[in-house]
Amino acid sequence: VTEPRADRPHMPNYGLETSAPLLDWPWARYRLRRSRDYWIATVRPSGAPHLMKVWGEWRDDDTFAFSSDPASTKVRNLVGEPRCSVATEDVDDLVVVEGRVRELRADELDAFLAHYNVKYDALDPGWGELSADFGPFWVVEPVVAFGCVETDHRFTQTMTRWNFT
Amino acid sequence: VVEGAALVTPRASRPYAPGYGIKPASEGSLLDWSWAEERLVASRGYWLATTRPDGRPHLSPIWGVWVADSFCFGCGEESRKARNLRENPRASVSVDSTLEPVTVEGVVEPLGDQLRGAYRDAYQSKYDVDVGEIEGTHLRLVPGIAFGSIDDERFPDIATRWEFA
Repeated sequence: VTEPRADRPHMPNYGLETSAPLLDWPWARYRLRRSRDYWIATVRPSGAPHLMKVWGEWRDDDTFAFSSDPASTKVRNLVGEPRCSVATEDVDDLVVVEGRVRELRADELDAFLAHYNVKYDALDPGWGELSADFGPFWVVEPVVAFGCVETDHRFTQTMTRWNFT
Repeated sequence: VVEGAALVTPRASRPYAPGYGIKPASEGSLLDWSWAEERLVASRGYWLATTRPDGRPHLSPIWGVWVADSFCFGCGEESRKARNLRENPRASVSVDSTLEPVTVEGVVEPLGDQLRGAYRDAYQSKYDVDVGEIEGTHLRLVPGIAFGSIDDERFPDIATRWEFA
């Protein structure tokens, strides 16, 4: 997998230090992989943003896979507007990924279920098991991502953007 | 009436979330709004979702305070979120907890002179920052609906949706 190109985003009046080193993509990938919960932001047909917690798996190809009922608010939103944002659970040491959702392909299903169940068995022993019955399944393909360390106000020195296109 | 104190009690019901085994409101129990409010007051960081002019969601971390039944925050005049909110004032905010999440959806309006004192005091005592000295725009998200739950075996019996008049 090729790593995305990193730069410092333009954020007027936030005092970002242009000369401080950028975070590297493995820093972000590590946090995306280990997060138990994620926030997903979608947009309702009315234009109002919707924020919901999901479980999912950050995969080796740097995409995010998750399951959700077809009648859920987030899926109904994604059918109308497939562009969405996904964030890690820790707001002080964070990664936000902006991308576009598609349905998981049949040839991706077995690996996804296996990895997902290993992840959540380790994090939440006895929670149950995700099976093919819980579909449909979705994949967010990143376009751009942001990461920073907010702890100790290091946000101005660490804010990094990654470009996938 | 104490400045900044809770003035409203929203109507509680069970959220619509198919496939998650949520019980009807007649079974289990609903969370008190005071439970949600405690978390909205106490959270150090928050997630704010807005909608970009092109229809995509934007998700970013933010600091803020819960004052007078609303989420009060500041941001740069030319920040992505401020520009989004000028075009579309609808937003969602959630506390920094995926284990006891509270999410509020509503409409953002200017803070207004009446709340400025309570906002500044709350911000000062929470972050030890004088928000009056921060350049930018100061806003408040007034809730329309809210969601709260506890992420353990109680979830199906306790997930709650609140509706504000």
